[in-house]
Order: sequence, then C-alpha cells, then structure tokens
Amino acid sequence: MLNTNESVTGNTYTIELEGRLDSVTSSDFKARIAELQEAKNDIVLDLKKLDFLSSAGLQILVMAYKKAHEQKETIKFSIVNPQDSVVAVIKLTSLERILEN
Amino acid sequence: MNKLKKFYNNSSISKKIYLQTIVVAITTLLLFAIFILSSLIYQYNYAKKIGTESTANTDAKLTEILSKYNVDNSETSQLTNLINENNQQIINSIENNIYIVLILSMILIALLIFITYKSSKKLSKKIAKPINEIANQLEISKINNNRTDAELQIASEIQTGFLAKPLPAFPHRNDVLLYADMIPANVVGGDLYDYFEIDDDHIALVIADVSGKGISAAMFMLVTKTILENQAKDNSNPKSVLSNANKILATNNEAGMFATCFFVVINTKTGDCEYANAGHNLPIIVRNNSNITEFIGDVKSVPLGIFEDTKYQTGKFHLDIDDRLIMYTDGVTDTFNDHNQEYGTDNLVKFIDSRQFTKISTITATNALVRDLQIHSKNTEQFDDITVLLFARTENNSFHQINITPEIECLNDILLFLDANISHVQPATRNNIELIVDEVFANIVNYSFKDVPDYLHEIVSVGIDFQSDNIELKFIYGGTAFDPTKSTTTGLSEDISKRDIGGLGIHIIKQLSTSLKYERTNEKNIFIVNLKDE
Repeated sequence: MLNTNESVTGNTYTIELEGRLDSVTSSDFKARIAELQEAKNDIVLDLKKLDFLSSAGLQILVMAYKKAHEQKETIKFSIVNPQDSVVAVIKLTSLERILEN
Repeated sequence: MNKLKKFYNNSSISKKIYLQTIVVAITTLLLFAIFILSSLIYQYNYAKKIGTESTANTDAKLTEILSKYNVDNSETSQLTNLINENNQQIINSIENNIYIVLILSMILIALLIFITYKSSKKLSKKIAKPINEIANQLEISKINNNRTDAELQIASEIQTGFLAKPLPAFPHRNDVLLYADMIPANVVGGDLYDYFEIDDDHIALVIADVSGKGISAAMFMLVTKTILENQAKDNSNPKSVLSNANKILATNNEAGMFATCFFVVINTKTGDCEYANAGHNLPIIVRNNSNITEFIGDVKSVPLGIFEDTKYQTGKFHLDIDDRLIMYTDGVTDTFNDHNQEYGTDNLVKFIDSRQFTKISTITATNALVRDLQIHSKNTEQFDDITVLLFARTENNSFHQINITPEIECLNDILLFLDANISHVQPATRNNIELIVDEVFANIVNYSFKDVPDYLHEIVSVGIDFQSDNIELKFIYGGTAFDPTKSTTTGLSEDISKRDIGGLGIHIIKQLSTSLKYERTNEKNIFIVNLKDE
C-alpha cells in the first residue's frame, strides 16, 4: 500500500509518501512524477513515512533526479527525511547522490 | 466552527462595521460642529458690528440732540460714556452667551460621539450574536458528529478485536490452509466469519450475515458469534449447534434481527465434513482432481433468530486434499457494476473456473476474487458487506510455501505469507527478504511471463526455509527460461546521469545474498537465493 499526500506552493509540489514504494505501487506514482515534471514543476519528496523502497521505486527516484539535472535551470527535485531502511537500499546501489539537495 | 467565530471576532468584518459607523458619525458631527461654530462666529460678529454701529450712532445722535439743549461738552461726553458702557455690557453679555452655547455644543458633540461609538459597538455585537450562535450550533453538531464517529470507531475496534484472528489461519499447522477477507460497507459490519479448533482433528468454520446494517447488526453479529462458539465447544454436531444457537437468539429477540449462517465441522485427518445451514448462500467446492466446481447443501432453511423451535439438519460432504472450500456472503454475488448488473453466482463460478483455485494459495485465491469484485464494482458505492473465506487441506509439508499467479498484485499475497512465516526474524533481515522477493517476483512477472497468453493459469511458488542463521528463498516458475543470475549489473561507478537505470534489482539481490542458484528442469525455472539472518 502506498498513500501519497500532495501539497502545492507556487509550482513546488511537496509529496508525502506513506507505506511501500514497491513493484505493485510504483507504476501509478511513476506516472504522477512524470506528469508533474513534464509540466515543469519542482518536486520535494518527503519520505518520513515511507517504510519500504524496492528497486522499482528507486528507479523512479533516479529517473526524477536525472530529469531535474538534465534541465538544471528549470526544474528542481529533492528527497527529504528518508528512513534508515530506505537510505540502506540507496547506499546499496551507490546512489547516495540522489539524496543530496 | 470556532474558526467562524474567530474569523468574525478577529477579522475585518466586525472592525469594518465599527470603523465605518464611527467614521460616518464623526464626519457628520464635525460638519454639524463646523456649522454651529461658524453660525456662532457669524452671530458674534454681527452682534459686535451692531453694538459698535449703535455706539457710533448714539454718539452722533447724542451730540446732535445735546447741542440743541446747550449742554456742555463734559456732560455730553459723560452721558456718551454711560451709554457706551451700557452698549459694551450688552456686547459682553452676548459674548458670554456665545461662549456658553459653544461649550454646551462641545459637550453635546462629545456626548453624540460617545453614543455613536457605543451604539456601533452594540450593533456589531448584535451582528456578532447570530453569527456566534450559528458557529456554536455548528460546533455542537460537529462535536455530536465527532462523538458518533468516535463511537462508531470504538464499535468497529471492538468488532475487529473480537474477529481478529491470525490470517492466514492456524500458523502452527501445516495440514490446512485458511484465508479470509471481509470488506464492510460501513465502519461496522454485519458479516461474520470465524474458525476454531474443536480438537486436534476437528476444525469448525462459521460464516454468517446479519440482517440490517450499522451498530445494531454489529451487536447482533457479536452475540451470534459468541453463542455459536460456546455451543460448538460442547457439541460438534452442527445441527445441534445451530438449533441451540437459534433458540437462544430467537428468545428475547425483540428487535426482530436474524442471521443467515453456514456452520461446518471438518475432520482434518479424513476430510469428512458435517455442516448445517441456516438460510445462507451455498458454499462452493472446487475439486482438485477434476477442477469441477459444485455447491453444497440446501437453501430451504430458516435463518437464525426467527422461530424458537426451528430444527436444523446435519448434511455431509467430503473435502479431499487440495480441494478448495469457498464460503462467502451475499455481498459477493450482490455486488453491482455501474450498469446496475450484479456479479451473481454465474460470474462467481466463472471466475473460479478461470483461475486454478486448487493450485494457488488460499491467500492468492481470496485476494484475486476480491480484486475481481472491485473491478466489477468500479465507480459504484459498496452497499453490502463482502466476506470471502477459503479453506483447504494440504499434505504435510515442512517447507513453507505460497503458490500464486504471475500477476504483480500477487506480491501483496507473498507479503501476507511472509507475515505468517518470518515474524521471528530481525527487521533488517525482513527488509532484505522483502527486497529480494520484490525484485525476483517482478522479474518473473515482467520477463518469464511477458509473452505467455494464459499466464493466469500459471503458478509461481515462493518458498522460505530456515536453517540456523541461513534463510533460503526458493522461486519455482514456468514461462520463458529466465536466469536472473545472468542479468547484467550496470557499472555502478559511472555517472548517475549517464547510467542505465535498469539492473538495479539484480545488483540489490547480489548485494544482499550469500549465494544464488538457478536451474531449469522440466520446463520449470528454479531460482534459489540464500541470505543470512542478521
């Protein structure tokens, strides 16, 4: 199960994720992120309540990070408050850089 | 609703009313004051002018008159002075009068300002009063709503607490599989399922549907559940259990509530089953050897709680190893789609026939059926509780295993299976197991069964075995030959922005495991992952 809670300030979307971002839940979320980035919105992902992240979820984070860095001046993407278990997965794949803001 | 009050008190509205009234009042009063003052000043000047003119006139006239009477100058000037003094006194008295009027006017103006201020405040309060009253009313109704919500929530918790039993059921037994799901239409439901062991070889299953909805249904349901369990403790004969329970429920049942109920006692060793039915939907059995679905029992029976003297009959059937017993409430068959078509018994049987219910785990079969109901009822409101219960006898098997279909949603079934099997491992290990399972299963679904048209007829087995601190995960699946160990790991040292984002999963598996093994035997892929319990 994944619950998402979005709040908007200007063109910055803060998305709070709660539950699991895995192979089942990631497809809807992937579509939403792509849609927001397509419309040139900045995204802040709050992972405070995200208990589980699998590679399917990690791929979305990496994709969003890459998209934001390809268009450096136009859109921003950042990840805040990840839990230890989530950080562990990110470290396992040497992708800590996506956590730097 | 306090917000409304605060909004009124703090914000603009009240202040605006104040300020506007005061500004209008003060402006009017100022204009009034200017008018009074200017008229007073004019009067003063006019009086002074008349006084001065009359003094001059008096002088001239006196001099003229007195000259006629040969009065000497000194006397004339004395008289003139006298008259002038008198005139001056008149002017002074006018002046004094003007001052008094001026002061009185000032006092009057001050008084008027004060009254205006007071009345504007009163007015604003007067407006505030009904607004506050509305706010208070809303507040009270909100409190009442909250209270009802809170009470419903408590009722729901009590109900859930009574119903809460581990699912999958009987985690200590490896000769039976039982899984169930109940989706209430409201916060509290009137559906009931229950299971308990009568002795080592006998398991009782109960499914019931109480008339009505809400708190009353929930209360009657809890009473029914308790009575049935107590009756079954002393007596495993289904007809006596239902007959006795009915008598208790029908006596003193002034609310006229009733419940349909199917009660079955299963001999887990022999598979012989005895049941009694109180007007409930007929359960379905899917035979493992023939894959044929059949209904059990007779519908012509009276629900519990209506007539005190109803006697129920015991019926019998046999449940072979790996046969599936499917019990459900009419919320399943009465689920409507947005064209007002019910799911019905036909669709239920059709769905069961379309899946290999006897090959997949009860968890997966239950969840697949619930998903199909959700697809059917998409965009419609659920109006009845939905309950599904699946039971099977299995061969004794020490290897903990779940059989699922290669659909990505079945990952959730594996998680439920893990809940029942790995509750004793460390959280970090559990996270690692879930990461591996997610990755391997997603690969199986996306690669091995990508082009398999009848993939829903295929079975994927996921097993877990513990040997001291080693954990073995075993995936057995058909479809295309696919060796996850041969997947390429992308160079992780490369720049992220240039990196291909596939291949993360196999990298994770390799990092978390102590060994990986793949083989293909008899058209089956077998993939084994070993990891340490941290």
